Amino acid sequence: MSQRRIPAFLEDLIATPDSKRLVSAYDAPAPPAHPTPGVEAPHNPAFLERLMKATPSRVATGRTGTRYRTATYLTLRGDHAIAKDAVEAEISDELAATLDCVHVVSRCSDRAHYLLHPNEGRRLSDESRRRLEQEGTRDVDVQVILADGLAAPALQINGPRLLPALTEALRARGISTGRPILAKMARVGLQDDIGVLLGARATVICLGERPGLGTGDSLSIYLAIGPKLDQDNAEKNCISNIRPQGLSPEAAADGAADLLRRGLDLGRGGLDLV
Amino acid sequence: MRIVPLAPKILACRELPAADASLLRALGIDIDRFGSLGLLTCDQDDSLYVALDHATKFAEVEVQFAKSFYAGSAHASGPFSGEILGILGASEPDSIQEALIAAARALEEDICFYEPEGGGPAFFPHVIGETGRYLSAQAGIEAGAPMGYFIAPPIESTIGLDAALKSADVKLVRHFAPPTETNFGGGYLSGELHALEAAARAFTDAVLDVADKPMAGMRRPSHMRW
Repeated sequence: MSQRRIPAFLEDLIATPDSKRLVSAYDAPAPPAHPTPGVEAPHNPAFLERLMKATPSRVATGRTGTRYRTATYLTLRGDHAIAKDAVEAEISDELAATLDCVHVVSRCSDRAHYLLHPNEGRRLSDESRRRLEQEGTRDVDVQVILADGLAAPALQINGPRLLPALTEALRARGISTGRPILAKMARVGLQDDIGVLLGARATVICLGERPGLGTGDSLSIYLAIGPKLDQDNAEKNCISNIRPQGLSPEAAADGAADLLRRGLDLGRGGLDLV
Repeated sequence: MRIVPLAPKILACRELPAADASLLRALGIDIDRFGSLGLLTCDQDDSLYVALDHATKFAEVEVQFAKSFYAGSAHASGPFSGEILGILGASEPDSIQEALIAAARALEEDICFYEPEGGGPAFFPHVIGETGRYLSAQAGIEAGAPMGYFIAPPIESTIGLDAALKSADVKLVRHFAPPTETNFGGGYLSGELHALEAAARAFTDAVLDVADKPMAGMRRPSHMRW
């Protein structure tokens, strides 16, 4: 049986508060076993097989009456659970300890608050602002930020490989970076706040994408040249789909470093870079 | 003053496929479009209105009938009456099933009245993140827009609504003046989600203040003081 959820604006009034919802430990999803076509007596079985190999999407699953088959339905539920777990998960303390980063947090008080109030995830908390002023590196070419975004598992899985690859790729192109930052409960826009505060010439934020069915492990890199608050997305570049089944962290790091080199040379990014 | 949630209870739930045409006509239901019906009674009318609305987001159903009963569930006509009958209509029974499950789950997890710990007035400081097709139409707002749904007994709701409306950038889009069927009062409010949440909190605080000091307004005029 599921528990009653109390809205946040009443939480402090509740006499017998429900125990806080536990954040489930996230296991990396196993790659889907190659599904068998569910279409009975297909007209062109060879094409069906090609179609299914071309996409992880749910195609040619067959049906019973107007409904899904049980197997399709269960896979769907499982994939949906992966997405929901990813949204609720948080960056583990172990990961935070292994990365040599300045730790900051947005203005959000907890995960539920973060999910409901996107704007608060785009600004640093007052305490983090002070910490960054003391511990952050100023006036670098590129400030690297790692963050949870909407799927902490994406950083958990891809972050440890991406950070050294990215640092090395930038160094190889003569771009200075300074000390990286690890941000919790962060949206893409947090890079603007950090970039302006530290006076960086550009920022990159590597964070978990909004999960889809079965994909809670996909990381994106957003590049912003010439940081300013609430910078338009059209002025940023994004490298997405960094995950075991997609782009490798190393390839993504090289691509990002190339774009940054060009962006810094031209002094502009986003659509103007293309 | 602390509060406790009052869990709503579904008292009866039945399907009614292929209902008699004259009965459907009498209930104002379009027989051609809604051959399948799902009927629910609940001991909290406002919770069920919200749950029925919630169901329209999960299945191809429309709320065909929803009315509160006189004097509320403490004075119900029978063990399965509660204080509301809601009827959902669909073109086929699968949608009714989906809708009923969605409504039951919402009642179990998200929708409820509250009361002060140890007893007191029951009140409903509910905020809907995204309205469905039913309540949005009732409130005259766009489907999918957030809505505040604030209900309490007569004096609590009047004081509470005033506090809510002054606390944030929200608008009263529909008012239910007491006496209603259940003798509660309240209204629907529109605005941004965060503003509605702030308003719901202000409504709650005001209701609790009335419950704590119901006679606070009875003060002796200055010329009678000696």
